[in-house]
Amino acid sequence: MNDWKKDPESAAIEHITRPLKEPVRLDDSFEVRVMSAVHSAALANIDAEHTSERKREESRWWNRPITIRFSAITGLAMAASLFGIIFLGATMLSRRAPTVVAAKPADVQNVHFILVNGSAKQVFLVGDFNGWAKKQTPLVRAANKNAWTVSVPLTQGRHEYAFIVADENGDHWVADPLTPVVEDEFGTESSIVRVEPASS
Amino acid sequence: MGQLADRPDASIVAAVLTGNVDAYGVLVCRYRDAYTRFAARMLGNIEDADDALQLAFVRAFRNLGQCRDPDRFGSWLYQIVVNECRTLGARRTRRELRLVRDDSKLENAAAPDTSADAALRDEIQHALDRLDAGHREAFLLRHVEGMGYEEMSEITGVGVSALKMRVKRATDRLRGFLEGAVT
Repeated sequence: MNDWKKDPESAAIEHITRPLKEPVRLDDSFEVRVMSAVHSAALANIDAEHTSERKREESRWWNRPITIRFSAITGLAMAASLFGIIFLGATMLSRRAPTVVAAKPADVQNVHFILVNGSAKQVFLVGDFNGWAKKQTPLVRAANKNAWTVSVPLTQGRHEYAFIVADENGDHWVADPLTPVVEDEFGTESSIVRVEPASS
Repeated sequence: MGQLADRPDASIVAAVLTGNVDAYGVLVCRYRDAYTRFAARMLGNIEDADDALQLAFVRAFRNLGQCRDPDRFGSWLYQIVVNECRTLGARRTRRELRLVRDDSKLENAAAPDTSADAALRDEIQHALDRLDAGHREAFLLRHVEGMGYEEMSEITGVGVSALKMRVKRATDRLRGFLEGAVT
């Protein structure tokens, strides 16, 4: 209080700022929310890079449309030749066994899974996309120790999944509390994720 | 992750830029509390501060490659936090201008904490809110966050002499608003 008499302005500032200097804390979910948004941003960045690469590829000279002009007779002759080549090719190809066509990159999207569980020692993701294999898709513990995350490329459509949480009491089947659930014939709950077509 | 938490900012920034996205969580933990107070005092409530911090951290992540001095990631992030607070504050001002003020609702609103300290803090926060955003920002950085003018200038992009003027005016106005409550 002696300072007040010596320097009233400093004392007034001290009086004003003391309550303002009290710490302010955000809720515990802050880091999980930020890291979820960060992972989404990282995935969007990867998608943007793929799109950019695809556009670069499309712009290369061998992918550019070209225009060739022919006289009427030359055009007729080339059309007949082309028909012959297509007919022959189709006949030959029809004798081959069917082949599996790989999904286009646009049909696959990375999906980020998050589970908040501070007591887990390990967490695994199981679902129809990994054959419900327990150890195949482990989640990684986030820096705040409570959140577990993993990103998985999924094809478009509806997928069922759940988490296997390993803690000191053993392994537990846990449906995602943030998404809709379905029950199987034994009453076990699994979660649903729908992968929509990419907007681009 | 435990070892990563002990590393300096530049090392963690490098880890993130080479693909370890989860390492960014260490930076979030490191800086969130330090910058929350400024955002909360600047915007006047914890909800807007939460929004500002979240936007700032995500923006910083997206632009991490442009952080020219990763050893000073904290200062670079602070610039982003200040900018997000300015943007949110401006947006909120526009939103509030569109609302019809209902004094009876304000009077009947429940006060969460009626202690004398909380009442004083609310009164000071109310006075802060009445300041122009630039003056409020300068006052908080100088007298609440304890920054030097050079650092303030780097973070806000405002010249040192202008900042000194703002701090002085902000202090005088606050003292005027709070006459009786502070003395």
